[in-house]
Amino acid sequence: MAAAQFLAAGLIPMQAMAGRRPMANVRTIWRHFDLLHLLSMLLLVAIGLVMIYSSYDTALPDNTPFLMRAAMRQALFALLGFGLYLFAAAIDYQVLDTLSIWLYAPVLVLLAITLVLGRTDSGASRWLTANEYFDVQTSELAKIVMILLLARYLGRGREALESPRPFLLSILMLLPPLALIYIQPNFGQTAMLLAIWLGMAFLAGVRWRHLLLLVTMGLLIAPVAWFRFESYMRGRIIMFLFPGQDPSGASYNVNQALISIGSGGWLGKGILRGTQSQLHFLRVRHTDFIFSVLAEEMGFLGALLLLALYATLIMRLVRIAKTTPDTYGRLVVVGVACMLFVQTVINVGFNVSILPVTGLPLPLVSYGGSSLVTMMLALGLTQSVAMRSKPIENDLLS
Amino acid sequence: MADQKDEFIFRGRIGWLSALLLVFGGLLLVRLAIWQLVPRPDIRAYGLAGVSRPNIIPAARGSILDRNGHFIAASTVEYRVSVSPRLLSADAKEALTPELASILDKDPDHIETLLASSQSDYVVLGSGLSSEVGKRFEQLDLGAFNLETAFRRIYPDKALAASVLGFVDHEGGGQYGLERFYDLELSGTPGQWHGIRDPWGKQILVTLGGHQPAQDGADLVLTIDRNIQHMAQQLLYDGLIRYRAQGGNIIVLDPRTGAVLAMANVPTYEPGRYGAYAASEGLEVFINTAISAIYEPGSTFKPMTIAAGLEAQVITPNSTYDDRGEIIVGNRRIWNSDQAAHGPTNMTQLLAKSLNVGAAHVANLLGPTRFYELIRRFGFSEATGVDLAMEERGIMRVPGDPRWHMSDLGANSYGQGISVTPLQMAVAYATLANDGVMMRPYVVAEMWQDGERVRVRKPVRVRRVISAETARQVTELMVDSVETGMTKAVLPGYRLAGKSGTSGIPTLDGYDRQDTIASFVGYGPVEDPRFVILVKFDRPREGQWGLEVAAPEFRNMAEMLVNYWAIPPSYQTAQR
Repeated sequence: MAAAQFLAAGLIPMQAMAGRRPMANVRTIWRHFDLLHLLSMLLLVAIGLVMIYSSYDTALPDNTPFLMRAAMRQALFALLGFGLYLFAAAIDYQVLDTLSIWLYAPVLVLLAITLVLGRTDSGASRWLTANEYFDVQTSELAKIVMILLLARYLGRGREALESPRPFLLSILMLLPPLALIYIQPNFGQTAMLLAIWLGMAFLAGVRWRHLLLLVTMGLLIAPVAWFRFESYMRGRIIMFLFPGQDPSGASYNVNQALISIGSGGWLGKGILRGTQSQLHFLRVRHTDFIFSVLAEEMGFLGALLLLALYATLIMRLVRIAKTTPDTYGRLVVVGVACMLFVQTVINVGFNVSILPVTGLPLPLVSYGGSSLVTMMLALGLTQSVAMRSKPIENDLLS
Repeated sequence: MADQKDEFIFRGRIGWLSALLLVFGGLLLVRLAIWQLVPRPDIRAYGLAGVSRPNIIPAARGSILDRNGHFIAASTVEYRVSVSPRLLSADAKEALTPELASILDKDPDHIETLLASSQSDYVVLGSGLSSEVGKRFEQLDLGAFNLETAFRRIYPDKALAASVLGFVDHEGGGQYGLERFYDLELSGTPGQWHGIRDPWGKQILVTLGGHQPAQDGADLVLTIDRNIQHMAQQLLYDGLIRYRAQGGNIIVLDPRTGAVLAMANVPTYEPGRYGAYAASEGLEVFINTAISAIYEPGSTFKPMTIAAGLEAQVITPNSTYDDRGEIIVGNRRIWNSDQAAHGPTNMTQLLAKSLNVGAAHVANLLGPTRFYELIRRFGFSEATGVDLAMEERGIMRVPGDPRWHMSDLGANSYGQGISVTPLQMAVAYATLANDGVMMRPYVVAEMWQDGERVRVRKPVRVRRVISAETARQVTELMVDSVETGMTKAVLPGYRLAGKSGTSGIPTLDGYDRQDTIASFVGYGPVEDPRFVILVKFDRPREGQWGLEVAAPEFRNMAEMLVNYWAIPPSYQTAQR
């Protein structure tokens, strides 16, 4: 950990340190490591691995290379994510306050490169290909950097927020990555970014009048935005609102998901025994619709367990936010909590057909390296906040 | 650091957000519970049964074997291969063309043309393919190919017993003969399994609805002896050429049981190529003329008249009558076929010279009531009940029928004005051979299912027609008449009973002036009759008499049979 401290000391300018609490004792902070936080995260990842194996790997031929097996890849990503989680927990998150500014431009560049050179799948350029085994969904990276940046600009306290300036500044900061992700096109991640920003702004204490102004503007823009939407986005929303009117058959998977979930019952059909998933009626099983696989194979109780784990994790985050006196750290936690919560609700929401389909993975569970690694990294940051939330007590105890 | 006001606002807003979390979480849970916990049989059913469909497992059609176990009809598997060109990329087509051409033994250009129709989902590449070719396609394992199996009927002996067998049409249905009569037993019951299709159209076996294996059709073992059938057909073919006849029949029965040993008809066809024969010969070629075509038996009928006379005791084997060359029955004058008067004549001479006047004399003695009652007992104008499709009953007018006239009695006594099937005639002679007891003719002796004999046909006794004594008396009269008057039918060393017949062919305006039907029916050896043989030629042009056309073939057939069965002679030829 000395390395982390050295790193922090070297990077953080003295003025950034001014007015902030002193660095915590390295030996004592690990006592405040939130074990429940870690446990619920690891359980979710484990459930994800089982469901990915069940929904994808079972259909693979025996001679499939190790690195081409989804569960194996996901397990490797989980190991990487866990390493980053511990690393992020170990370093003092305060380091990132300033560092995040330097990350903003590279993220924009990455998003732009993705648009130009990215792997195109189903008409969208969302991935940046490293080699035949790896590609990175850059929008996942963008989310975490934006959380750090927004925390920096919104976490200035009540006084600062009397003026709309920080709020407007945060909007200005948000718009470039938002636009770059939107034109990929990627409706889901765009919505995620907006939701994270809204949640952070709200909890930062942005004045009601500013928020109302924004909502009014949003309502005015909505009709225009509707016609600016990519046709697939409109289609999905229409499909969601009027499920009967679907001449293209695009509601196929939504129906298959409902059949999967509906046929699960209390205890499900058993892992590896869901007919909907094993016989491939359900598509994108191991990614966007993994919740349906789980609901079919593990039933209502399995789904309940999964949602309970998310609730536990989010409640731990809320607790960390509440107990952290530091506004910046608190907002980082809030941003991560928002990301986790909104993404879960959206994913489960479209799996059970109460929301239109957006290609968002189920956090920590769906197959996808970028999503898993960034989510674990983000949670590592919140653990870092948790460990440093009670410096005075720590000092007293030590 | 957050001050207290900040903290206050934050706590409040975190409360808001927590509420939102509860609302959304609750919404998801309620939705989930509604879908998962409220019983929804429709969903569960749709999850499985809604997409399952029965797949038919075809049942193999049973084989037909002769009495010695030789296959005379069998089913083999053949393949039909089709392709969905739409599912193949241009590269795949190019790569596959030479391989397909070599497997199917077709021109690569032709294959290329077939694959070129890119919009089509179903292009037949080949049908009637052997299982070796089918297996090679199975190894290709490409989703674009579809392999259908079908059973094909093969008849190894080509035209052997064709009209007895019938054939199987392209839809697998039995037509004519045994294939038709025993269609249900031969077909078996197709099985089925329920599968569900995954999104790529591959079938997956599920236990739902169960897997019901196919029940293959039963095998039939016939009474027909392939060798005797072959001899009979050979004799017919030869006779057809030698006598320039248009058609003919040979039937060989076992008089003791009614078993049909051979039933040969010409012209005939090859059941395996029924389509070609239907096109060139017309549908009549499929008719089994031995049971479905009627003719006037002519003088071969006379032994029945004599038997009736003996049974009613209006005559004895030693009776004589004065043959004046003509007789009037029912106001109609009847002549002998040779237009001659033969004077005092006994019953042997009556048969040997085939005198119409004599037959009419006996019928007169009987009177119509007794004559028709006794004749009917021989089975005329009723179906023999043989297990073959489309049997005719023949025509015999009897008193009480408005079209019957007293003069019919005279004509009927020597086989005119009455129509019978060849099989009826053979059965009537078999009755005489079997001491007056009529047995029902039959073709299928046993039925086998999955290697086990499930049914054995027992000979069926129809009725006693005449007394055993009468039967033996008629037999002796016939043996004597054959040996004295029908020498072409004599097989030295064996005592055979029989009678020739030459009959006109009734047309709309009287009898055909030119053509006749020449026949001979007989049996032997009379000590213990083993066979009844009916030989009949339609419209022979080299000779027209039963005695010169049919009798020699009867003799040939009888000779073959005694050799085939190694029947010892009745007497030493040298002694005679």
